[in-house]
This record gives sequence, C-alpha cells and structure tokens, in this order.
Amino acid sequence: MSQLPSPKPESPDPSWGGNVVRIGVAAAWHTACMSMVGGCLYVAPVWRPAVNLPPDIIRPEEADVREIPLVFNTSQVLVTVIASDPEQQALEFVWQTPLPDPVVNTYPQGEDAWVSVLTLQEENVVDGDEIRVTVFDDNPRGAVDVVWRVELP
Amino acid sequence: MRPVHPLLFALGLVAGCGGAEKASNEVTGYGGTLTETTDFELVGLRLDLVPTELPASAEQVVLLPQSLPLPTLFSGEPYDAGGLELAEPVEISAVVTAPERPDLLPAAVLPGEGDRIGVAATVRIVESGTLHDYRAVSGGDGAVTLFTMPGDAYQVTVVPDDPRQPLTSFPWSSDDGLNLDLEPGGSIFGRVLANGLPLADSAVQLIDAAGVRSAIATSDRNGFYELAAAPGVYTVESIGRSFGEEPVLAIVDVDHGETATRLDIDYPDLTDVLLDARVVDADGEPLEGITVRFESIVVDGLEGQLASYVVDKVSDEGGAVLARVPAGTYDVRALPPARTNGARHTPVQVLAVRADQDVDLGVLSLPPAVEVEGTVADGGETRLPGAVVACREDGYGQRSWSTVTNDEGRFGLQLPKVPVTCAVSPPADRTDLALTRRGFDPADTTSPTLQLRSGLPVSGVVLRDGEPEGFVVVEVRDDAGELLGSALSDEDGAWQLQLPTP
Repeated sequence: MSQLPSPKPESPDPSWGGNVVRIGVAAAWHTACMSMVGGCLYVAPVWRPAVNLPPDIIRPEEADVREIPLVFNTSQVLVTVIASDPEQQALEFVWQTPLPDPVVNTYPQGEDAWVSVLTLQEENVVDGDEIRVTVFDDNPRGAVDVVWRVELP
Repeated sequence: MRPVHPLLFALGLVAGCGGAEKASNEVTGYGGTLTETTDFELVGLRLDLVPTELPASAEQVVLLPQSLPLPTLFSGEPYDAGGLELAEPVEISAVVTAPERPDLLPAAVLPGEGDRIGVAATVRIVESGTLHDYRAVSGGDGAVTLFTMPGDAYQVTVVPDDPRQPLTSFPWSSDDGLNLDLEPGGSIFGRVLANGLPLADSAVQLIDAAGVRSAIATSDRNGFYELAAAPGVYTVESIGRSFGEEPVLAIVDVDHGETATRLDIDYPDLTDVLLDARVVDADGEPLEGITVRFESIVVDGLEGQLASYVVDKVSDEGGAVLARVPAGTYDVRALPPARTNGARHTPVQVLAVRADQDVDLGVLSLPPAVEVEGTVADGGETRLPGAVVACREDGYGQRSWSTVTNDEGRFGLQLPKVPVTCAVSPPADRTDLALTRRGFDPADTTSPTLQLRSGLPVSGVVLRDGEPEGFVVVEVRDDAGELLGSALSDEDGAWQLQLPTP
C-alpha cells in the first residue's frame, strides 16, 4: 500500500545517520578552531539531548485547537483518531467515556500511523458528554489529548 | 470539510470493478455463518466503510457510515472488492400524525375517527445487520428530518412519546416517500395487580419483534394501564414500581390485532428478604466501591414465568453491601470497577444462592490481579514487536486492558484471575497476519504465547465522486457483528486487510 495522506508537514528526519554527520562536522570544526585559531568565541554543544516529541494527531483535523463535536447522526458512532509518532514509537490510546469499558479497536497502519476506533452507542451517552482520548508514546509526559463533545439530534 | 449538496444523492454503493459485481451475484444477504474447514469458506460477512470526516455541527451532514455485503470468500483466493464508491446521504422529511384520542380508557379509536394531530415521537430507520441505523426525534408538530443511506430493506419504527398513540413499524425503501400518518391501532390494556389488589404507578412497556421499546405507560390508581400499537406480535413487560419494588415480568408472544387486547398482570404475594455480604481484599481489608450484582434465577411465586429481578449495590467504606430482594434463587457477583479503587482485583461469584429468608453471604474475598507476561508470535513462532494486545474479561464486568508488545515481542498486563479473551492486532509490517482472538485464564497461566493466524487478503479502493478517498476506516465483520479485520484507506483510497483463517 502507498502512503497515508499527509495533512501536516513531515517531522525532521530523526535518523541516527543524520546525527552522526552533524556530530562529525561539529567536532571537526571545534578541533580546527582550538588547534589553528586558538579557540572559538562560542562553542555549541557537540551533543544535543534527544527530545521525545509528542505524537502528531492526523485525524480529527484541528484536534489541537478545538473541541470536536460528535454528532450522533446514526445510532452507533465510530469515533476515530489517527496519530503518528515523530520517533516512530508505538502509540497507546486511553479512552475516557461515560462507559467504563468501551469497545476499542487499535492497530498500527502503514509505516508510522496508528488508528484507534471507539464504538459508541447512542443509548450510552447524553447530550454534552465529553469523550476524551489520551495518545502517548513511551513518554507519557508528552501525551496529547483529543476531546469530543456529544451532540444528540 | 467538503459540504454536501442536498441534491447530490447518489444511489447505492457502485462497485467500480468486476470483483464487486461478482459480489452482488453471490451474496444472499447479511445473515449467515462463519464456516471453517480445511478448505474453508467465509460466509455472511459485511464490509463497513466509515469516513472519518466529522460534521462541524448537528446541522451539517457529511458522509455517513455505510455497509455492504461481501460475497462468500474461499481459502486461497484473495478477494479484491475493487472500487467502492461512497454514496451520499438521502435527506428524509416527514410529519408524524395520528388521530387525536379521547382521554378515556381503554380507547380503541376506529380507523377514520378523530382529527389528525402532529405527534411527538422518536422515528427509527434501521437496516438490520448494518451500520444503517438512524434515529430522529419529532417535536410537538410531528415534523422530523433525518439523513439515511440509500437502501430498500429498511424497517421504520415510530415510537410516540404518548403510549396511547400507536407503536408502529413497517418496511420501507429510501426510493419511496416516508408516510408517517399512523393508523389508530388498538390498545393493549389491562390492570396491574399485586396479590389481587390494584397496583398504582407501575410501569408497563411494549417490545416489538425487532426489540424496539414503546414509551412507558404507568398504571393509574385502579391499576389500569394502556398502550396503543399497530397489529403485530409483542412482548409486554411489566417493570413494576420505581426503586425496583417488583420483579420485571415479561409476557411474550402477545398476538395483538386491530382491536383491543386485554392483558392483566398479577403479581403474587411476594416476600422480600435481605441479602448481605462484606467485600474484602485478599488480606481481609474492606473494599469500598465494589459493585455487587444480585440477579435472580427464579423468583418465588413466579416459577415458570419470564420473571427477573436484578439489582446492583455498591460496598460502603466498611465493605458492606445489603440488598432487599424478592424471595427466590440468586446469582451474586462482586464486580470490581474498571478504574480507580478496587480495579486491580479479581471478580468473584456465588451461584444459586437460595434466599427464601434473610441470608448472610459472609465474606466475598476478591483475589488480586496477577502480572501476566506473555509473548506474541506468528505461526513460525517468530516473536512480533509492535503488536497490539487488548484483553477483556469473559463475562463479569467485561473490563478491558491493552498494551503493545516490546522489541522482543513481549507484553505485560495486570489481569484478573478469570478467563479473558485477547484480540491481537499484528504489527504494521506483517501484512500477512490477521487480527486474532485468543482466550486463556490468568489463573492457570501467566506467560501465554498468543499466536497470530495467517490471513486471507481482502482489498479494495474507496472512491468519492470517482476520486480516491483517504482516511476511511474499513472493517469486516461477521453476521454476529464481531470484528474480523480493519484497515484505513491511504492517499490512493487503497486498503488491504487480512481475515483470520483456520
């Protein structure tokens, strides 16, 4: 299968090969400065700590800036979140719904996307209920929340 | 978001290749069974297409989820569904009306009698065994508008808010206009009695053949109730008074004709008894917040009838629970919550407790959950990193837990000591493997190996207005509604999934 559509710009390449080249160039520059010129006015750190970036939410769109209306135009609604991790780590999805143990189907898709689908029945919600999913990789501090608000007809 | 023009009502899912035409020749309907033999065939499957584009408000309509049947699939024959065109929803408007009814009881209005009035009601339009299940609520003027997928096998059910207006159901095609002028319908009426005396404020409800419930009628001070319904076969369910004072009593196969049907409901002289218990952990410490469910097997005095009594009580800070129930025989289950206090405990049950007098159930001791460290592997016993493991209790509270296997294909979960079923989704790079369900009992094994099945490939392309449509969730389910496989369409609208094989 080909790639998923990419509504957001791709993250910088975090590959180890790119880091090796950068470190090598910086080390050579610093060595040259110190041995030939007598030192550098500013020495940028050769090593930069790796930052575990939070997951990107691909769907629903604009999930980071607004609460998503969840309109029950059918008696059963499948609430879907699609996410990817910049470091391509496995993602986990924790759903909070009026039902303590809802039916959820989560699976990896393609090279780096993860899909989590929550099945909700109309009789299990009331107008105004909040549905929330927390998406995180192996660093829960970088978790991202997506929030829907139930709208019954 | 792409707006939907109300005139753009495409008719049906149009398959864009020979594979889907083949489907229409071979499919006999949504019903069927999953047959697994050495040379297996998969029968009665359906394909669900769920666009992930969401409406911005209740007024806006975007694409609706849609279902279509799959043909019989055979071992060794990958199936290409071809191009699947997403159909646009059809807007339906109608007005629910019924003859005005005199406020008498029982009031069987004859056809043609009474002025027609708008009726507040819930209108349900359902195509059985599909995602095509819609509901709309009419106001006092009876006007209702909703969107459906095109289809010719719908069942429309109108549930008026007033139980004296008729519960009505009829088949319908979206090619036809929707006429919601309800016929008067005769009444199903009678008295609710307790030991021969009128029982006021008791709730009675009809359930039609499709399981749709009517509005609730409440018995008056003389015990009379009345429910109107179109001719048909119904279950009449007496729910009793509020606060669970009476058992639920169901009278099935009530053959209701054009005229009134009298049906009295007589509760015998029921004796209440007290059941009490104390919920503790394995160390004997009281557990607060544990739900204890008392569910009748037999209610004394109602033997041989479809009578049931279920009540949930939550343990207090001392772990104590106390329930007042009609005398009978009960199953008692202590159900720890899914989250928060008590979540890491195992449910317990005491079956067939005879309660013809007050019973002290004593201590219900909930064992702790156990650490399960398992592995996920393929048929060749190669371990699989990145597989999703989602386990659910069999029965009890059906709590669930999930995780992802690590780089060594191992996973860890804290699970109760009762049988669980785990759905395991393969990692993304193993497109040859299928979503696989495996059951085990953590009380017997804490290091299970969950082996994934190879799959039968099913693929296709999702189109909208002839163009590829990405971000559409594609699911295949059996006739019982169980999920067999799922995928997401890519930028070319293409999707592929694997169905589990024997």
